[in-house]
Amino acid sequence: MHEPSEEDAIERPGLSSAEFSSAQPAPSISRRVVAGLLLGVVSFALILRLLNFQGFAGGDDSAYIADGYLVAHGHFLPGPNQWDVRTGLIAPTALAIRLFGLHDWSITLYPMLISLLSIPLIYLLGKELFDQRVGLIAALLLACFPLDIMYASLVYPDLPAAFYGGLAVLLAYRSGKANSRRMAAYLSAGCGFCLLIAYLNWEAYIVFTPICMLATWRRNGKSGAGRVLVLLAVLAIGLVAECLLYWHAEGNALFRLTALHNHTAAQPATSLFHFIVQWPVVVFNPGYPEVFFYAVLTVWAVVALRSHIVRFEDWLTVIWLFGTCLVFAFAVIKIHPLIPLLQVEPRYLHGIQYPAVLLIAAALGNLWQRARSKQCV
Amino acid sequence: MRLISWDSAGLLMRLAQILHLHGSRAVWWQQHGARLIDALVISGTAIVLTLACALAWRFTGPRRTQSAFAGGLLVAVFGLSSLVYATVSLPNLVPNSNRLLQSLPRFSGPIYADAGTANILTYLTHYHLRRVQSEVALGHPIIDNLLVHHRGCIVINQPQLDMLQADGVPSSATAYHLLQNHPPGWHVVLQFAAEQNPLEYVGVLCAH
Repeated sequence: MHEPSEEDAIERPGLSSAEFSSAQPAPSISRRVVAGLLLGVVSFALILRLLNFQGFAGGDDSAYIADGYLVAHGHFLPGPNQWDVRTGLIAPTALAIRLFGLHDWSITLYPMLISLLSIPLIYLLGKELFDQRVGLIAALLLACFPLDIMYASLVYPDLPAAFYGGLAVLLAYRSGKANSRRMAAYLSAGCGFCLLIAYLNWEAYIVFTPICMLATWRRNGKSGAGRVLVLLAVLAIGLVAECLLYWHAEGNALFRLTALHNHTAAQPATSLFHFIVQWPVVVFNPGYPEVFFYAVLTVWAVVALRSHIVRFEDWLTVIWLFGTCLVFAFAVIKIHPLIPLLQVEPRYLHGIQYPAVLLIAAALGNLWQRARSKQCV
Repeated sequence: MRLISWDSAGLLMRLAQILHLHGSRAVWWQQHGARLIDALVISGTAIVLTLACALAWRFTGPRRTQSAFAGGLLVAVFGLSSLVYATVSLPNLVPNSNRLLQSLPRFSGPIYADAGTANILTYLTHYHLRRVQSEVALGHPIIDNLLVHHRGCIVINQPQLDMLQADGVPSSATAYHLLQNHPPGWHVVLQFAAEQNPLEYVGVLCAH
């Protein structure tokens, strides 16, 4: 998963000492080649998304698009439901409608751009947390991920929220590596801002906050308390600003919570057992081709890497994956109806697509590294 | 732009005969068979490509350590399987409503439709359509009241009713089978096979 050192030979039983001593580090790829490869991957991703162009689906997206239409024409007032408070999605949709009119391509411009930008984002995440090769493999995997291909041209909050959540984790991690306190503060502030945008797209992504706090708290002797405070302060300021806006518009500072409660309270209750059992039925179901193949690969990757999870970055990715899964599967029920998640739908897996793809890429990279090591031996 | 692998009604019905599907299982196949075939083709392709590339990796010896060869295998597995997904996956429900929209001016009086169809029709007319009324999922007693009042037209969009049912919004068997079993005083003025499932139909019934 990274260039091996002598310490790793003790900590990583997956390879023998002979294999470690003869292991060849992966050669660094020049920036020009990386840029060319990423451009090729993004182009291929665009072709896939255009081939599978969805546009208007008639589900939840109808509410977001209708709200965007009203905002674009100056008539919008949020109602007490879960859709109207997702301003992180409604605002860009409204802007696109205002600029380009109401067309299938204009309403999906925002998710399409986010989907394409997520490819260099996951490359950077892979490069930071693992190495350049893992980053490139992850970029290819995300470009080919069917769930992403499908939702790139649908007006749903999951893909943008996942993007901003992933960007928040990257900025948090970079802030821990920053050379100057000022740069660390800027990156932490950027992380807090991305968390806020993710939350405004879909409130469930507030759960990325502890992951970002962990990401910024590095094991290099430097305390992450200051960075965490900046991150939380920016997020808190954004949340307070939202409350003030709702107080001005609706007369209720806690309008978002009221709207969510109002929406979910009327829906039939789901038992905890049913909800938990539904997750593997949906995720590991060939009848959901948009997630099945990658779900199986994620399990393979976790099993393949189980004895190689030694660094802080390895643990961060694993905690990001399983922590988000556990929160979506268990904790959400406990705090129902604050975060409506009553059904189990494949699109909720956007929350774990970044750590899952990174682990798959790391496992594939490890496979290649082991083959090279055995070849040298 | 899709390569069609599932839109043959004959193939789907032949499979139902081979699998000896009757009664409720036949109804389930009618609703989900096309989607199941589509999903199996996509998932199966990914698995077959993975196995083929795994075998190529296993038996190519020293070549597999070359970046270009390893990268080529990755592109083959993920690129080809994603291409299959992009070109073979089912279309969404909008094309059905597009066809409905062309015929709507012919019908007089109010038009009743399920929530999904009403949303799509409203969007397709850029929020100018007023005559279509959303009636949730046409469950009981909504559909019973509509049939009794004997007024206007009712849109039956079977794939859309399936989707609402899957989302936890109950429909009714009466509404689902209305195109085939319409009561006296109602006649079918439009009916066509659904774009994503040739065994399901989209149509309009109007009161005499």
